[in-house]
Amino acid sequence: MTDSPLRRGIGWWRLPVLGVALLTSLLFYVPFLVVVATSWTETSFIIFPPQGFSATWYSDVLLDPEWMDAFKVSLRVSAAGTVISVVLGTLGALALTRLRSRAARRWVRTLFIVPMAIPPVAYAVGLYSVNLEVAALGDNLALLILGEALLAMPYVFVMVSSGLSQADPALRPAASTLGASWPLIVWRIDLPMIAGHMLAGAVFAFAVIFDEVVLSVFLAPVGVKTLPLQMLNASQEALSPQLTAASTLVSMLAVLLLGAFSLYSNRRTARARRRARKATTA
Amino acid sequence: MTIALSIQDVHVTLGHNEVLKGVSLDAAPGEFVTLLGASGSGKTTLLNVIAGLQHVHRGHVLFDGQSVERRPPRKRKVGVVFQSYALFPRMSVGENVAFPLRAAGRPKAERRRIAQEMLDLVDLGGMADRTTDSLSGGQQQRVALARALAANPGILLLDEPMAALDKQLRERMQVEIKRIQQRVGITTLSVTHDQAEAMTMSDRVAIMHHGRLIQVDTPEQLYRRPVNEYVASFLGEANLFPADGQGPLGSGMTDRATGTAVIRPEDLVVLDPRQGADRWHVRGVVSLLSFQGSRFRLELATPGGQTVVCSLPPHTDVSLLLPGSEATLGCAEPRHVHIIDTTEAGRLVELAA
Amino acid sequence: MVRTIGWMLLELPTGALFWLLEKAHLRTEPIDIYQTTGAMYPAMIAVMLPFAVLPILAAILGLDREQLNAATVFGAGPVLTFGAVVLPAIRQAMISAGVLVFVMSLGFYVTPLLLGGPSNMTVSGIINGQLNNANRADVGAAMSLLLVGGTVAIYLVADRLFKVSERWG
Repeated sequence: MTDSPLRRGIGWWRLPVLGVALLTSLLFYVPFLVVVATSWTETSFIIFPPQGFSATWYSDVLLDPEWMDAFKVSLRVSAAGTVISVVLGTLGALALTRLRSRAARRWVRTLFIVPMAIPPVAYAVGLYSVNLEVAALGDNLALLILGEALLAMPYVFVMVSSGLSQADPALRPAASTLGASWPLIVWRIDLPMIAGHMLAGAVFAFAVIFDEVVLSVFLAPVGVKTLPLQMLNASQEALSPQLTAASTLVSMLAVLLLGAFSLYSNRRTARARRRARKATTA
Repeated sequence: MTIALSIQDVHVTLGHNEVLKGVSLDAAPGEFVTLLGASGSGKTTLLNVIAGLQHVHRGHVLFDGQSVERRPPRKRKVGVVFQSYALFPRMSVGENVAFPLRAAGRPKAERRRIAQEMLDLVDLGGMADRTTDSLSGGQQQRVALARALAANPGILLLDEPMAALDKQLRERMQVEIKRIQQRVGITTLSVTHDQAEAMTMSDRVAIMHHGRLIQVDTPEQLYRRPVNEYVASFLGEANLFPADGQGPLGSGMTDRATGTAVIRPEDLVVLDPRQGADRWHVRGVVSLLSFQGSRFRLELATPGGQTVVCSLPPHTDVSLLLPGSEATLGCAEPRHVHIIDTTEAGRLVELAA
Repeated sequence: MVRTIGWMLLELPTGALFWLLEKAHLRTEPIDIYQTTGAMYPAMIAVMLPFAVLPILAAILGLDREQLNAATVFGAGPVLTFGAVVLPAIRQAMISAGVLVFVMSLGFYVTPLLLGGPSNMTVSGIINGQLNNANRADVGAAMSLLLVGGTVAIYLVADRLFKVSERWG
């Protein structure tokens, strides 16, 4: 290992590049800081700079059944949608490794990734018609969950198949020559290899679904709101600091979740590296 | 514009790992020196130090007597053939070779002329407009060499130059590179873990082990007079026996040992069991006999558990040496036995040298 | 969602941006970019940036170290190194990222709705209007079909040309 070749190759050009990167990062942080700042105002409307300092609006949001119901609905939809998308995305990625023809692999892969580009509104409209036709689906969350799962599935697929592509391709043939049946191969060889990637896919899928609003606009049963929908409505009405307080809380939750996940996966890789080092020195 | 290279007590630490622990090496102008060592011995790090790709924590690197540790790589005028060749994709062969000249801001006509000269030098005269991925491995290596020499560098560095070639091509390219190096007359430092390659190409070979240079000498001296057991068994095959100042000791006298005798397989002969008594010999059971074209290879398992390797001329009568039979081996020529002094005094002499 | 709200607060006529400019004595009247096209761009860039950064970052991490070293050793400065080694290696990823961001932006809904205002409806916004307000599900469905067809067509053409799908995994 030597000094980073890229750093050396680009030389003093790093400075302007770094400058632009820092300015770009402001695009992320400034709006967020404004949201957080306005949430502790004492006034009954959003104002910047905030006036005074109080946690009134936080307790207000946490005690408001409208916000808390929306939060619970979102949790339910996200959890169910994540499970479905992880199962489907993983199955798709596994199926891809079992295709022999290169052309077929290419097409399946494209078909699984294209949905990332399809506008959510298209899913929404399609499922909306189903909603109108099938009365039984009219006032529950089933269609919404299904739609959200479809939206998140490509991300799971991408992450899991990148995990599978790093694996030794000889393992599976080796196992089958040793007489392992396919359920055994999936259970003992494929799944342990991609467990980490599945978890990453699940976290990503949860985040995507939790933040998604278009499908809720179309598919949420009358009177039921997901959290993003509640936020959207709130931001189109009188701007109450409830909105920014709720936004801050949700962001905190997201940061905690992602932080815990990256801490966990860092531990995992560190442990794997230690094990690899021990194996080479032994 | 070839230069004299001098490396003086260079230390490099990466993380908690001291990769180079005080390495000193000199190369005269036009000399071909090979760094030979197992992976992890620090040889590639030393090459990077010379190229300027690795920061030196202590010690000096001198080009023609001038210290260059603070000179950035692009100002050192070194030519490097990288292990993967690192040819630039989406550039033609000619553009690749002319790259160092382009970087130096030379005019286009001159770039074209020198690139053509360099391609002629490596026998790729008509290939200037080809793409690099249409070339064979051997041709890619020649392009990498032509590029390394294009800007008339003071020193040529080869990082495992044969690693990406198959065995037959390897031997051809070793001779070829050596020929070009001699024609250009450039000081060259090569890195390899292949001892045959080191012996074929180099004027001198430097054996590296755990971040230190163990011995720097001509291939012949290294083979005949290794300074320690590591060098003896790293370069060629060696049978090691306890010895005193005169020669190897027979079984039962090993407590008198003051050194180690290095006996090469070709210096062992098969003795008639009856004549072995008055001179040094080793007895054992034949565990392997194989014909390898120019030699027979015989392996003997001694009662002490040692495996002794012996190389016999191809016309030897081996009917009595089939696996399982008893055999006695002795020295063909006691003068050819090299003795490594392992006593404290001997170690000190070695250190002083 | 939260980021979009942040941008909204920033760009309100007397919002945070106005406060900042006023403090810096650059402006005294309220700014009027809220509910204009200009308001949408920074927010959309912020929302879409990760989708561009991730594939390009992967390409940069995959750069051939020896090629970078070769450029340095043979005397190339930053510009030549970038042009000879870095750019050719990441060009594909840059194009893929661009295509992906473009098609995803076609279906944008929330950000334009909040920041662009009624005069800057995206297709998604109009479809929503047809379905939920104008009660013309047929028109909305036709529009979504066109939107999906267009998006998928663009994506597939780009995929043929630049192998976008292979960037992912």
